[in-house]
Amino acid sequence: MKPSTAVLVSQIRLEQKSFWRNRQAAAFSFLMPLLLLVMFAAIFDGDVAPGLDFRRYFVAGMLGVSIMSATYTNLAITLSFHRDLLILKRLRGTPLSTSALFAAKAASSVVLVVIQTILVLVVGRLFYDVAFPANWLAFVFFVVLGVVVFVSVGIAFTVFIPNADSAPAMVQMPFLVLQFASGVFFSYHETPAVLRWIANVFPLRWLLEGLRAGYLGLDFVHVTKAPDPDGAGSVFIPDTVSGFGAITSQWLGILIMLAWFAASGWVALRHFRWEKRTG
Amino acid sequence: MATGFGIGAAGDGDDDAPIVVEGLRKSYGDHEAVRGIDLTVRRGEVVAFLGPNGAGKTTTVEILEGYRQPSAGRVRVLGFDPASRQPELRSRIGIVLQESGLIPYLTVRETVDAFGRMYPNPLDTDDALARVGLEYRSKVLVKDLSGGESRRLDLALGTIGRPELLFLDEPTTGFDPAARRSAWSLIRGLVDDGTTVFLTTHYLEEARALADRVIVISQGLIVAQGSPDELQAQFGGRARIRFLMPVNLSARLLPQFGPMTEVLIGDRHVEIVSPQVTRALHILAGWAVGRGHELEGLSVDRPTLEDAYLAIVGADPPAESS
Repeated sequence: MKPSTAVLVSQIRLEQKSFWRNRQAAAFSFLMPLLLLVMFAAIFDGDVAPGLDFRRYFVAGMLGVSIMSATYTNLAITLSFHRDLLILKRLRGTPLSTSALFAAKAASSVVLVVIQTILVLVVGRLFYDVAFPANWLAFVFFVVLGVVVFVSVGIAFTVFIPNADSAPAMVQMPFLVLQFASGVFFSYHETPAVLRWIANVFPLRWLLEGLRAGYLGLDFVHVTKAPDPDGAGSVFIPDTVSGFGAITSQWLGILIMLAWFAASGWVALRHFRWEKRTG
Repeated sequence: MATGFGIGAAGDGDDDAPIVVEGLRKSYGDHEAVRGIDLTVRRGEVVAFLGPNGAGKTTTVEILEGYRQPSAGRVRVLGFDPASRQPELRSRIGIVLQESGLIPYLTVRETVDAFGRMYPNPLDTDDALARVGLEYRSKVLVKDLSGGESRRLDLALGTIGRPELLFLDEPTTGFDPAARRSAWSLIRGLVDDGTTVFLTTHYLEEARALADRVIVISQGLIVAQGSPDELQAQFGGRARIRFLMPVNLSARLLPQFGPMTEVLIGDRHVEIVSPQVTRALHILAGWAVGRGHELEGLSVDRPTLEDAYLAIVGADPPAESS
């Protein structure tokens, strides 16, 4: 093994040990999405579109929430704490390269994403009758894209966090708003226009649509409006997508996510703070 | 000669000096914290960098360590510009910051192992822990260490990479006297192996015990430097003879001690400050023995490094250099 690889592996192991040994924090960030999954699936039933059980729609949505939680939330909060505790300052005085440090943090988030993805897929399959992904290629593509984008957004977001005390609130609040706006708990098409505008600007909605395209083979970006057969309103029938279509149909979302990746990467490279603010 | 020298260091005739600083300045907004510093640290030397809080000490050290960019001047550490943050430089220096943190949920051993892996030729973890007397705490989580133990772990981490040049920023603050002495012997051991040490401290005793040379900074400028003995001799003032006047005896009865001698009398306490302290003592002893007096509390005190330091930093603020 090359020394740099050994250092990277060693750093990833440390990140993992440190994450799991802080049991309360680990339980919170790890079990929260699963808890929400179980509760919401118990509360809501019925169809989100004709023939589509809400729970199938929702399981795919919770997967996106899990990804964002393991990357954005986890990184933004731990980096803020490590900055205030002067851990980052100490590391900056060692030969450990900045890229190795961030690669280890990102890779450690990926470990969490993989475990959570497997858990959500298994829970969905066993308890909510949600089949495994229809299109593995598209599914993995969007999981990876989501990780890349939200790792970058999480690191960049620390630029705006003044101190560790305010980190959890500052990180969770926009995340919560986005979850409601982006169609995790409710169908995106049935939320008010203001929320839909918000959802369209931020990356979470587009990750969810991509995951649904890969997971369920349904494209909720391109829907057909039809009168509700059961009532007075209307329903939104998603297109069916397969093969590369599950990726290409999401071109707009992919572009928006990449724009977030580029913008947050620029902010992180230019403005990342290694030390807490003084004075 | 080690690699990495030569670039930018050519022409100053002192390529081998681990630290070379010329005309260093650093401003924060309107405030100029460092106002033009020149210093050279030779290989194997232990330099203590002293100064009151706010004198520009930490700013200077953190520029040398690569944490801050100078506003002006030239800085070379092992031949490198520290602000360029090259990994090779950081693998050859060790840094013990005044204040820094560690991941709380790792054990002492895991932490030392991990830092060792960052360096090309680290000490063995057991060896590093034994040197600071933490081997018996190796399985404890970092968050459960006491303040003194954490500081010893800082020392272990700062020296794990066998640094050529070690920065110690107030390394023994918070140590009990025994722990301080064992830290000093650790540092002396490193110096014996050829490590150059740049030390800041508030303990003059520590500077006395470790430093070959003391540099005093005040208001962003170097105001004095030299060996501890030189500074003591230059700034410490004269030796003092102290004793208590025998009861019921007037100080007017004391003999003449010669030219330039001051006799300070307060209550029964007498202090004699003379350029010829041996002669003054001889006259005093002859006088007392001749009259059959035993002088209580008789002592001859040489000025300490602390006296010298206080005289230096208590002096009028230095004029702005340009």
